[in-house]
Amino acid sequence: MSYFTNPHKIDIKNQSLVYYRMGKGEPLLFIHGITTYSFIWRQLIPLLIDKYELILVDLAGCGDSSKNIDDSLSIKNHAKMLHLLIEQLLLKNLHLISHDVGGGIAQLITVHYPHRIKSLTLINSVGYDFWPVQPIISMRTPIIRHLAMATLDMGALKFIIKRGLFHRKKLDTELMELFWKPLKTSEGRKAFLFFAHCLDNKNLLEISDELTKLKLPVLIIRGDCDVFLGKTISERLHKDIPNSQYEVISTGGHFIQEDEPELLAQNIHHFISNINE
Amino acid sequence: MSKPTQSDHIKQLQQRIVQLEEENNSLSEQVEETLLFGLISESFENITKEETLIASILEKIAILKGIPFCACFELRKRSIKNLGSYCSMDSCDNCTTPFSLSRAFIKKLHNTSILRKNYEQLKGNFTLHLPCIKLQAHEVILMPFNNDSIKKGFFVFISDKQDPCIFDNDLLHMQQILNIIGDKWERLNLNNKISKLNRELEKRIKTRTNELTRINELLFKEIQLNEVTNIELLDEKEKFRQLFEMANDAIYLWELDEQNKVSACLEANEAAMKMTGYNTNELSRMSPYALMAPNFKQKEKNLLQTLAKDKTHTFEVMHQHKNGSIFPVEINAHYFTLNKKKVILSITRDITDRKLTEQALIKAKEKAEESDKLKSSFLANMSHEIRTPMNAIMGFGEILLDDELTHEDINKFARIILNNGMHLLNLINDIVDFSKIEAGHINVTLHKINLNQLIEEVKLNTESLLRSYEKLDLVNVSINKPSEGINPIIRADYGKIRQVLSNLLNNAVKFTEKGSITITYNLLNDEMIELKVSDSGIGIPKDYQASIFDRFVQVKDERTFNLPGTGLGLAICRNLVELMGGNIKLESEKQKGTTFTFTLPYHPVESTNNSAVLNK
Repeated sequence: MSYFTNPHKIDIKNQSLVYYRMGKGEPLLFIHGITTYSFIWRQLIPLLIDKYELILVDLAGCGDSSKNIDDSLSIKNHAKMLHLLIEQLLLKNLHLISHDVGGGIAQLITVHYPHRIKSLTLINSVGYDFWPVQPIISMRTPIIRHLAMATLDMGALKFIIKRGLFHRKKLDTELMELFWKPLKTSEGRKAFLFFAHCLDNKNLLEISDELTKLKLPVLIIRGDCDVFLGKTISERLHKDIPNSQYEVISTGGHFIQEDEPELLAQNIHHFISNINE
Repeated sequence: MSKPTQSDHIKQLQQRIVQLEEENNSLSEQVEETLLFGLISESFENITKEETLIASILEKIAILKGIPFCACFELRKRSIKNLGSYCSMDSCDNCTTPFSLSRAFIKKLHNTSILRKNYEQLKGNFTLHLPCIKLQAHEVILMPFNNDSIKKGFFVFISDKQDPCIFDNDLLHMQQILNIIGDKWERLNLNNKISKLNRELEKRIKTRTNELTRINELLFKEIQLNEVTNIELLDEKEKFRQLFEMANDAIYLWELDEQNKVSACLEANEAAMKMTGYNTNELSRMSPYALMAPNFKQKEKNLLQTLAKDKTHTFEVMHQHKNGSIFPVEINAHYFTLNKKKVILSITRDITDRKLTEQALIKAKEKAEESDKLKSSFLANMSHEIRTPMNAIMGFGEILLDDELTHEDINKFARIILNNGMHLLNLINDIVDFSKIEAGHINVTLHKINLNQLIEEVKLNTESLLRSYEKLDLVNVSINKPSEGINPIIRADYGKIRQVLSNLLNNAVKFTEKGSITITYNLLNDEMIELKVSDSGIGIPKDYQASIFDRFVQVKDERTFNLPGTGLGLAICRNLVELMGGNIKLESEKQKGTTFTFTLPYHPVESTNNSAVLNK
């Protein structure tokens, strides 16, 4: 993957974040979710690089970023770290493109540090107390158990990823290898599990009121076949956020970047173009 | 009973949901346990290292059972050995000392199976030393295990106060997991043992292969070296073959049998074949004796004994060529052992030229000695010959000084002095002439001469000489002229012919007491004139005849004892005759007389002048 040959590093708090920066234009910051890292955006890059400056980050504990688990890897902390990244890179008029748990982080950034943000795109995003698998009432969240299983066995991981795709045939060895790469080391597995452990629905419940006051344009995209996150989240987000647009891609699963990269890029570009008009 | 309100209904529904979720959880847990067993079993398949196995076990149990801290240690007599640990709340894996146990506790553990206690209750016996500050130990479970290499060990599981209820009431599942792990561990150990044996075997094979390769290389090098040496040896062999073949001397290598008899000729070079005329085949069947001339074969029979004793011997023998010719050789023989064979190396040199030179040298030496002897006798003779007339001259000279001599006496004595002076002068002339001849200072000068006239002149001189000896009446001198066909006018050296004739006639006068002296001359053939001087004197003994023409040779016996002479006269004659192109010989018989005959080239000239020397 030629887009990932020139990684940058930036030290924020006690983590070292890896990010990639390419193209020219208004900046788009891509925020991935759990089980993935910057690679998940790779098919969107050639579709957008001519029009925008693209910044792809590996969240702390993921991809090639550091995997320190002394401090919490909660979405709140991630949001803080990304805010500092945005500040340090002096990004302005920033469009946040987020997926899965990354969507939660993006909501937090937009609510708490809005001044550099121009728009928000939430793709199969978490929200409120809705997490990858349904209401959490008991203490032990099944998602974590699933993820825990996944870290220990490539077969289990494959099972999860496959469920997340609409076009299941797209899951080839290369894609599987990309998912598996950070889980090859004990450090990577530990950080991954720690990230999962740190997921707390309070973080998002806290800002549910703030969301209704958002003024910037928001694009909500849902893969209709996402089995991990129900459509209730997207629908509620669209309902609550006043200036929001809702797009459903019928042939998209949870990992919609793999299923329909062109449609996704097209929606994003269309959305941003409209704002600028 | 009041009718249930809506909130009651909701409460009931919520309770039902919780109940259903719990059931769901319980079911999913059962499924997960099954999955876990399978997973653990499968994921250990590829692990070959014990440490990796333990680390993997601890991580899997920790993750799947949600246990924040798992560890494993070997129980020893008074201590423990940490085998690995996993803490999910900390980046650090496998701390060297994650916890410590008291002596008493260790002792107790030797007799304990499963231990389950609150961390607080174990205070003083079990102490955590984790760098992780997040873990707040709640419950501690120690589960024993053993296998091939570890007699007794424990797995340690600790829960956190934040999530205290992770352990089930009965630990059957854990026990099952540990049993699976135990099997895996056992198998791993066996596999490792087999691998170790395999590795050792491979190592031994490798060592052996290396050793074989090394030996092979050495052998290969040696072969290469041998090849080089072989080439060098061949070169060397060729060099010696050439030295052998190119030698000027004949070289033979004779083989000897047990009795020290020559059994074969092993080698013979080109020179040997050239020298003997035999080829290699013929030589190979010959013995060294066969090469020798017939009279040498017996004489040199004991050569081999000498050689066997002295090892080396140089001698000269005569060899016979295949064509019969005999030639002298010098043989240098060396006796030694070659390849367990007794052999003789003989180097044979043809010394024909050397021998000839030797003989010539011997002859020259003998001649020199003879010459020396003659010279001594000449000197003795000369002193006598010179002293005698000198004594007469001196003695009569003194007498002449006497005043009282008569005229007749004076006349007589003066004549004696004159005669002796003449004799001395002749003597000196002879010596001077001979010296000139020897030094090569005499040249032949041809004049037109009248031979008849010359012979008449010398005849008169002879008669005069006879008179002085007072033998004129006793000895008759005659000339025997040729009847016809000879021209007396010839071109010749007058002086030298006259000198030869005078010398011969003087000798005839000296040695002839009575009888005749005849001068004969004749034409021998178209080219030569022959002249003879014959007398009827005492003759020359046979012994002297061969050497009488040599210088200083005089016949000395009782008859000639008192006769004067230098011994040079005949030597001068021969030299002069040969100088003129003729030769001289003699015939003589004791008491009967001698005839000297000499020849001269005949060069007739048409002229009739009476003078002996016609012109110069």
